[in-house]
Amino acid sequence: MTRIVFSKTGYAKYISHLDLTRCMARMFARAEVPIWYTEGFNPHPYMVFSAALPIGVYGENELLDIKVTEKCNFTELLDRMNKAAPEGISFKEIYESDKDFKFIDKAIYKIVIPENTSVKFNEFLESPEIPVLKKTKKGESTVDLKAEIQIKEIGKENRMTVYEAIAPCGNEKNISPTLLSGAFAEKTGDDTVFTISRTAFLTKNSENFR
Amino acid sequence: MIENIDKILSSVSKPSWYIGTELNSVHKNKEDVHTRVAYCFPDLYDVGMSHLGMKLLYHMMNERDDLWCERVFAPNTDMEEILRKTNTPLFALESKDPLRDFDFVAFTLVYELSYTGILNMLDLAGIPIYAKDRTENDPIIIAGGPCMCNPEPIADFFDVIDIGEGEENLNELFDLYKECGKNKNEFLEKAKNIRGMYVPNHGTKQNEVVRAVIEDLSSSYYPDKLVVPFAQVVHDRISLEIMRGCIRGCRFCQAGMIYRPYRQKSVERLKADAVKLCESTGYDEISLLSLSTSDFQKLPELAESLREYCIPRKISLALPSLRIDNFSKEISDEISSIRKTGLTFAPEAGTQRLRDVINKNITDEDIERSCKIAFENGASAVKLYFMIGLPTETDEDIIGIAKTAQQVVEYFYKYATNRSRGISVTISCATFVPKPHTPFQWEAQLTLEEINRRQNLLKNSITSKKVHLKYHDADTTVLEGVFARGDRKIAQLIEKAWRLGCRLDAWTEHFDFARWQKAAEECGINFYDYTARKRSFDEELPWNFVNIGVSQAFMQRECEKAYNAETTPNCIEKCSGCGMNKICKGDVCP
Repeated sequence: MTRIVFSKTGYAKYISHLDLTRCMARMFARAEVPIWYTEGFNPHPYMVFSAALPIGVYGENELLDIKVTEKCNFTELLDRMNKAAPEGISFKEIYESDKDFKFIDKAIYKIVIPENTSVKFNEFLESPEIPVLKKTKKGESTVDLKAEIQIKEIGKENRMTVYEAIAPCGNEKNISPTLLSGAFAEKTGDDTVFTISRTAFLTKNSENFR
Repeated sequence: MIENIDKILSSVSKPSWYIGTELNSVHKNKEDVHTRVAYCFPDLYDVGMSHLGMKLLYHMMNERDDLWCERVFAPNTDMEEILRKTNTPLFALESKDPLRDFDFVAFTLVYELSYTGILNMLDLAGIPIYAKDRTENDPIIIAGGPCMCNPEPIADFFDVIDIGEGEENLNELFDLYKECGKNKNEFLEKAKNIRGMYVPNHGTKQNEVVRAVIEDLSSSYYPDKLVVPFAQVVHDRISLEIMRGCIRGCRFCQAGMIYRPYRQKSVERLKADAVKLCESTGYDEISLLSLSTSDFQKLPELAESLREYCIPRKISLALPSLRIDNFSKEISDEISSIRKTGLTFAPEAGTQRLRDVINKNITDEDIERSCKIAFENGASAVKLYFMIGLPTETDEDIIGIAKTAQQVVEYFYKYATNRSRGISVTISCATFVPKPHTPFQWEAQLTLEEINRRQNLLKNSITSKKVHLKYHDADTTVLEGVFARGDRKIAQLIEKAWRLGCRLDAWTEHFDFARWQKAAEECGINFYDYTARKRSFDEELPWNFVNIGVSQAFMQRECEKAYNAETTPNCIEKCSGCGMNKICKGDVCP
């Protein structure tokens, strides 16, 4: 597999996963990437993403696998792709990898909120449990964010408090940290927008996955 | 820039409709330009972003270094709610600046049912809706688009209305604005001298406004890039306009009259534009755009030339708007060799007599021949467009619609090479709305009761399970008729309905006819005075001052021929003297 590391920042955080897929396909066409097409009645460029990014969350090191049909100079390819990229999408690295995305188990998120909100947020995090209703295609289930998401304050910058959160992010279990801000807003009535970015993926043994 | 943009975008269901950073969107420094234009489409993003005219003019305006044109679409209901709740003014997508900060707020008006959107958008922007209530400090509100061949129903809301082709006269308007040093009064008075510009609320009313026309389409502006939306939109592909105007002269068809003369682009220009557009957008589909694709005289040459480029790049080519009388084997081959598209024909009427009345010059033999080609090539679904309520229509004509569809089913069993997939024929049936600047502009439209009776008759005439029937909502048809042939009094109806909560009327889930009826009652307006009343040829019609190019004398002649079921040859066979060449300088007709 040819693995692409990219970031999704600025207003691009509002692009849904499905829309991102189409956006990437068009980018590959513009950059003339010799991407492999699926065979069948309606051929389309073969792409596999590490994990869908929730709408509103920035991605710093997102992963996308493609197959190329000819040998490529990755430095040159990266340059072409960046020239063809829409605002907010930026390609950082391309390399060959045979590590399957199924080994991704968790993701690290950086959460930034204003200091005055963080006082309330810290209290909120002290609750014995933080139950939220999670809606999926299969139905509704209640998850306890307190048990599922490990979160700690890691510093302050420009009157903002920075947290690091580790949340399940795999095929079996996927919990978005946006649920935290939602639960916080519901409980306290404070609807401050949380700045959340996904920075890395981890394996079951908490090793960095790339 | 408006505040709290993140909070607003985080709380709507389709945030990517409002982010304004799509590929090929134009971002300039506002300090570097003289004129700022907020270009509005009074319907949702996914509809507006599918409209070629808006894309074309957006890029054309932005070619100017002294101007920055940005886009604005009608906000969806959730966006409107949060804008109103947070007192946030409607903003333009690219800069996120409020509309009030702009020199011009321009609207493209493509269908009548978007009219309440104009008022809602102006109101959300904090701009008075009536021209008379605006001051020197408010932006200049302008409109254009095909609906403006009868601008009267919405004339009270606008400062300038552009009648005709904006590529031809918009630059002149912006030059004038610069010359007048942003002096609104002087600008409005002088704008009357620009061909196609109607200034409805300033000084004396113009006696005549002559439509602006591009004479050489091959050398006129066409964008080499298009904004590529992140979200999926209705027409998510490259639209390549291959010609403008139509040779046919179907008597009900407004587009066939108001886009005259028939102008084709050169194959070389089209190929070059297609390549540039594919490279700049990355789209995997090109759709050829015109009123009647198969009338493009060099279609096989064009298709071959595009195919050469498209096939190795896995780009598909769609040819909509094919006519069945010249639907040839070659065209069918072009379609099936790239990617199979659905088959759609528009016989419009169910009997030969009525097709002659409307001058839709196709015969039963044409239908059989086209079906034969299509079915031999593996088609198994056919969609047929018809209308009810055409002038002189009888019950026999309606039963004829069902018979025509049944005939298509039978052709399938006669000609199909593979019958196992079965056949599905869909009748899509609209109700005829008489439109200004057509030979039927004087005709009466059906009342609601009569629409229902004729729709039921059609439904009961269909006997086969292979034939499916869809028809347009009768209530919206009535309203379309009111707006199409309305006068200045209609402005208050639109205002009243909007104040009663009418929004996004082109959407069935939002359309509320009861509110429109209430508004009409309060304004003392009877819909049927506008729709169901037959006008005499000498009546002074609200749109008579608009010189669209096609003369009143021609339309009257055509209407009289219709009553005798006499057809008129197409423009290539023989010139019928529609008058179009009188408003053109050069020799534009085929």
